[in-house]
Amino acid sequence: MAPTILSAPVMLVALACLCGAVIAGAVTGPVQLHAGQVVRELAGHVPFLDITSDLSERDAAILWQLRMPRIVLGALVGAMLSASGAAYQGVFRNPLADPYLLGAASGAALGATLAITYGGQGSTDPIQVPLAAFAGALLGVGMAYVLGRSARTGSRIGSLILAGVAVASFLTAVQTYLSQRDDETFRQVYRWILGRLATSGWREVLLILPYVAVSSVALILHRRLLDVVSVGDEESQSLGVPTARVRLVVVAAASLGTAAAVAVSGLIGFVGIIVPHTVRLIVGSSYRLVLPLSLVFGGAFLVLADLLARTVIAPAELPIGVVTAFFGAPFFAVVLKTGKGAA
Amino acid sequence: MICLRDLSVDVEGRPILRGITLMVEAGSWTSLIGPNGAGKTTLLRAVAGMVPFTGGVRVGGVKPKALTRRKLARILAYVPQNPVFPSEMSVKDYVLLGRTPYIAYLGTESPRDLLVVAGVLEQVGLERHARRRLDSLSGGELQRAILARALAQQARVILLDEPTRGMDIGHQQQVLELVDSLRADQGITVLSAIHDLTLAGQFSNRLLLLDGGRACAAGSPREVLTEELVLEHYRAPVKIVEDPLGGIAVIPLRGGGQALEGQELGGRFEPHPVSRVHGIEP
Repeated sequence: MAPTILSAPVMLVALACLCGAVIAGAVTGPVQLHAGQVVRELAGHVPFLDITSDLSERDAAILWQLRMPRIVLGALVGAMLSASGAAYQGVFRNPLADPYLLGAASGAALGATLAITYGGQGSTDPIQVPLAAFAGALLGVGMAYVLGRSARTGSRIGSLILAGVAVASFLTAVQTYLSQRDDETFRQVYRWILGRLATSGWREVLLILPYVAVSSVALILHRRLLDVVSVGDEESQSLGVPTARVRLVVVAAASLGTAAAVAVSGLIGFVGIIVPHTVRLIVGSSYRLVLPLSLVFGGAFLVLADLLARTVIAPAELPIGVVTAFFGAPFFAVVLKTGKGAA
Repeated sequence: MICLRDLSVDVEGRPILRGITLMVEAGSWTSLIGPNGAGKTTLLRAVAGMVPFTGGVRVGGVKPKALTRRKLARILAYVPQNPVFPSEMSVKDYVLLGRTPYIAYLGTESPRDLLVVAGVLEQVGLERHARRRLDSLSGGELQRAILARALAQQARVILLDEPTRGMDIGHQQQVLELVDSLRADQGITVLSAIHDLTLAGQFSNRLLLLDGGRACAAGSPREVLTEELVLEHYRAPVKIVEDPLGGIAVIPLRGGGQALEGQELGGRFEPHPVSRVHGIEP
């Protein structure tokens, strides 16, 4: 593939998908909004566009206080999880690496639980919970990586994933123990672990926005270096790249993004596998394209998944993690079967 | 261009190379030959700055250790014996990796980098395969792809570890002819490790024979590829044939192992009795 030629149209398509998902999400709900009005209302908030909206005050409140915060949060979380998945896949040279499978997400959950349970007033602190989740995520990935490397048998790809699953189960066990022990925080923690995009206004969005921004920028900047790292440590070093530093920075950025996403949305699996692999099918394997496109398509994907989660059994809601697992697990099997393991 | 003085390498306490001294002139092709485990790969890796060593190594008059990896990658390209091929990557993206030492750390490729890539793809005859995935290439095409990646580094020195491994005789010749024409046209200095003695003799200006980590002979192919030296270091009886055009061919003689055994046992070598072979009791 020729990235320089292809990138602009594909990026436009991706942005169009994201816009479509946002509008679909904004329109659909217990109160059906009119699509044309919603588009005009949203466009009215774009600077330098002189468009006046005819949305009623009640509908505008539904749009801006209920739906948009949730949609934006879904887009941020989806973008972060899929970009982190792509980054982990590049840095570990492992097509099945994913924040969920590597123990990053469960580590983040443990960190966040600790912060909520023992943090006192800190449970509402916008800094403390994501940071504790970040430390937990790094711990999870680190343990999985060390354990996976020490494996004496099996393929390199298989052992990293097995180690990740073992680490994730262990961290989840510790996290469950902690949350069960403390009745007061149990409900708070449990609701959040199931993976849901519940929002109270724009609070959650503002909470994770800085982390998502820092992490995405760091990952995007390293996209070309991830291509270099794909030829292995020795060869990438002979091309003049400090491989260890690239790996450290990318893992830290991906884990920070994952931790922020987990801190507000709980455990949402498989996004980091589905989106990057679909992107690869479209544009080839160069991370120069896979990373930015995963960000945009990941956002669109989770907005649509959330739309399904809140409409399938309306007025009740499915946890969004159930929706992503429903699509993700078969997809995972396809990735395994098509032998992308050789990458 | 490459100058080694009293180079020694130990790996995990074991001596791999001892006291190697070698001069490779600019624009020439020197090949390392020697039996398995002689230290050919280790020598290339030491020149590329990938293993710790004692003694002096200079490339283009400077010590590789004194340069950053980036700067070193601009004057020296290393092609390992078993390169890692990211199977899904396109040929063009793979060759573009060779431009890494010229692209800012977090930057992206410039039009000039793409121009260089297009140029080297044409040089190695892969211009029509630029968009193909690496896992769809044949062995010979893969070898040309990695050569193109090394050329994209625009380095004055190329280190090749077994560039013809796993190829048929036609592809072996094509790849080596390609390297030789690039050397002649662009004045690139080549240091390679080659198993096949005939290919080494045909294409190299000079040979260095390594055995057990020591330099045992150095010089032109005519001086190094002698029946005596090959027998001594490879324990292989061969016949040397000089190509009237200047090259050297090494022809293995049949029954090599038996002849050698007979020699060691002081001529007490006896063939199996025919009757025993056919299972007929006398």
